[in-house]
Amino acid sequence: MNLTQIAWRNIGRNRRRSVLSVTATAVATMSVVMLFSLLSGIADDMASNLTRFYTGEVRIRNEEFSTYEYLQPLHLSVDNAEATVAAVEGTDGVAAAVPRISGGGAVFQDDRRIALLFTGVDFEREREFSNIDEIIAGGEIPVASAEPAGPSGPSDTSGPRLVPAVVGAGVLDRLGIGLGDRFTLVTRTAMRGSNAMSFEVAGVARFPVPALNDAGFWAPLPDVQRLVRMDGEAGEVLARMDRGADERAVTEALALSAREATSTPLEVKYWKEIETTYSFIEMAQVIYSIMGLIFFILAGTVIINTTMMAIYERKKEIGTLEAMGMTPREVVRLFFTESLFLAILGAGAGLVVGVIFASILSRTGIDFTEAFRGVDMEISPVLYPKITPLSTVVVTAASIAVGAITSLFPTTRITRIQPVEALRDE
Amino acid sequence: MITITNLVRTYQTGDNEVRALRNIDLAIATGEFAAIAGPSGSGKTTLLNLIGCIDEPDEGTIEINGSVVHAGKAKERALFRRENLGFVFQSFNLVPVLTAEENIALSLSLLDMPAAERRERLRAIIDEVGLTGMEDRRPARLSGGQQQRVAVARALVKDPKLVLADEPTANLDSETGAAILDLMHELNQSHKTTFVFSTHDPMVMDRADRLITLRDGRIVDDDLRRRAS
Amino acid sequence: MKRTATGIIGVVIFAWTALPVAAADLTAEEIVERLESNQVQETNHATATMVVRDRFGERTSTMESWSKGRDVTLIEFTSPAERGQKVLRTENEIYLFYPDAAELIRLQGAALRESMLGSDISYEDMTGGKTLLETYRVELLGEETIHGHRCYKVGFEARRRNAAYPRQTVWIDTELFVARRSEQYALSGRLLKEIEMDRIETIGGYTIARRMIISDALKRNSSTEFTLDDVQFDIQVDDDLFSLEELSW
Repeated sequence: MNLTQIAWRNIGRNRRRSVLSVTATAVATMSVVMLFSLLSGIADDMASNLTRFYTGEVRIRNEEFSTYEYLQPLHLSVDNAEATVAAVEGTDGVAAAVPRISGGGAVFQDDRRIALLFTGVDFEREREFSNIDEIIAGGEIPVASAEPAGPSGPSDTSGPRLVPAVVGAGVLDRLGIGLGDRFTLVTRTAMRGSNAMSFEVAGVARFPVPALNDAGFWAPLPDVQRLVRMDGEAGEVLARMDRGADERAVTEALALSAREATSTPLEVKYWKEIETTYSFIEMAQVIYSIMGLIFFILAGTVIINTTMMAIYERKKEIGTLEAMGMTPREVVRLFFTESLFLAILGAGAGLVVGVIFASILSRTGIDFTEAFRGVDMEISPVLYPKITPLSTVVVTAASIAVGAITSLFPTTRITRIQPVEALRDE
Repeated sequence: MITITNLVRTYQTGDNEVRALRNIDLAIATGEFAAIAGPSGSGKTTLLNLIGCIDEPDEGTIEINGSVVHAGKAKERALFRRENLGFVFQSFNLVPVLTAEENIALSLSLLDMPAAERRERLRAIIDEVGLTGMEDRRPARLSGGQQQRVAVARALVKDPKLVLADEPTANLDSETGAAILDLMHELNQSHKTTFVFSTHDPMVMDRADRLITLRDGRIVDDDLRRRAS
Repeated sequence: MKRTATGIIGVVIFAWTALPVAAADLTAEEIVERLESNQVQETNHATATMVVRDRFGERTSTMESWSKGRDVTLIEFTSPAERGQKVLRTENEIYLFYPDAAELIRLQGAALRESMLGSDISYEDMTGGKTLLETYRVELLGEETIHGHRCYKVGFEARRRNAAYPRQTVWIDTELFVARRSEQYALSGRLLKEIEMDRIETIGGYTIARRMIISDALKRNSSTEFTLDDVQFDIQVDDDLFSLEELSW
């Protein structure tokens, strides 16, 4: 008969109390497992959206652009865009690079002014870079054209052709148009003048980010360059790295290559250094860890309570065991082991249930569309929890640890009782 | 084997001070089958507890086989009890989740010994106390007398030098009580274990080889009827 | 005919025949009527230069314009960056023609407040139609001297909600009945724009301000300078010029 076996049997003595302890721990553990899985899912989602559609993994811009970013200073551009992209692509550790020009313009319909976000892209490169095939919901991605829209020269009287664009599904709703229809956008140019261009809806995209979906469209870079008078220039060059690449090293290397390709003074930043809502994720992780700890401590109070009750009820038994020659430490170990078993059972149960729910949700997703209405973050409206070592193993270990540690409070008090006092009661 | 000198024990109960034992001097020889008797409040249980070093005296000394055990720390006392003492309680005090055999084995498990020897001892003691066939029952399924047999077996299986029994027959009917008493007396004879009881049961007082009477914390009579052999 | 700079900024032409009138006798309405009646021209044709200044520097564009009566104007930009772009203003609408687009853009309602060519002048500042007195209630606030010239200070308050500016103050020269300065406010009283007119000249019998400097009070370091380089009044201008067909590729 060893302590562990006795401890194990003892938790069956008061079923109701043990179930209470186990349930409290299980509920806390399950909640935290799911919370962390959700958070992992959000982090992944945000990272994907940011790197695909906003910052890439490394973003190269004119170094003055960020200072005046809110004014949309197109003229603060990157010269020699093509050469810069090629230089970045050729850098070791870079998987893909794309040039982009983004800006805001307006479509005038009846007496409505509809603000839209345009992005000039190299569609061929974007297939690789941001996997746009995945978000196309209708029509197709424009094939690279031989030359941009607009008259080819003074003698060309054919008039401008429509520029094919991939348009966010929400934009089409707002404009009340569909595949094959056209719209005309007016915008400021890099020369701080004005220009307009007509687009044809060649493809419909479901951008994962609602802001892009409702206001964004992509058009071929050469046409956009013409629209905003930025021939040969780009607003930014974005890069993605090979899996497992050393971020620091590759960022430095491609910065070097880029600077050789263009005379524009550049700002080159790894995406996590750019201030985006992603930093909230990292903050959220800290906050959730604290919340998780609080949950476990709360569950721990249940364990403290049940342990105290057990000790109280078994005082005579404690006295007997000590009379038989069990040292106070050994008695403490006995009760501690019982609490540990309960904590393990509870955490284990919570883990299993939490993982089951998180798995199901990771497939079906949780639809936050209503909740996120009006929220302008780069998070998709449907989120998929992700089960990770952190959200499972670490959480469970923490749960058990807190449960075990909290049980030490009542149990170590046993050492202060004289055997005769313990035997005296009743 | 037990030498008690000038033992004093006082309790605080609320505002009152209770002098449980006043300057007790006592010596008990090895192998004695002694009873400490007296009305309730006389201090007999207190004396037993002090001998069993589950309580600490305020003044005086208790020597068991030359060791002044109460002077040590809780752990040392526990170890001393482990190796040298056995207890039998009025209300049996068995662990409810363990079977009879497991309860007995529990006291053995605290000691270091090869598994074979353990098994041997268990079998022997179960037999001696007459519990063969019932060793797999939990206390809930044992009668009072059977439970007390388990308790006795538990106390004796480790072959202690001294067994302290606090009113062991109080919760048993007279027939069963007598049987238990007989059992303990047999074991006292066969194992040469010293037995000290506290009791107010006349039957026990009768069977004791030596009867020490306490009143108000003092020894008022010490009657040695039969020498220990 | 053009709107005065008090309400709408566009190609600003003032016509006025100096009539000596005792200033003290005039009511606010009469002053404004005088101001407005000076703007009646059969036709005009002008070229102008617009310089836009902001924190990034200076941008110059040039344009040519034709207008007839009170209602229609055609502007064509001649500077390289916007060559070929045209703006046609009719009574209540504006049409924009961009060579790079495939269709005309029609501005209505709130869209008229779009800034033209990134300047501090909006398309709305060019809408034609109602007279000042129809759009605003006027009040004579006194007299002040602007750049050494005595002016009536007249306050304007919009009668309708969708007027260009809810409130304005215009300083009108007491002798020439030409505006020298104006300020536009939001309903709250917050200053939105300030306009200074100078280089007052008489051409072809009409007294006009050749230069206007508009400052947007809400943006730092932001101003637009609008100068008439060359202007002709009451010349032959073809009606077809103001048709939509004219605005095509």
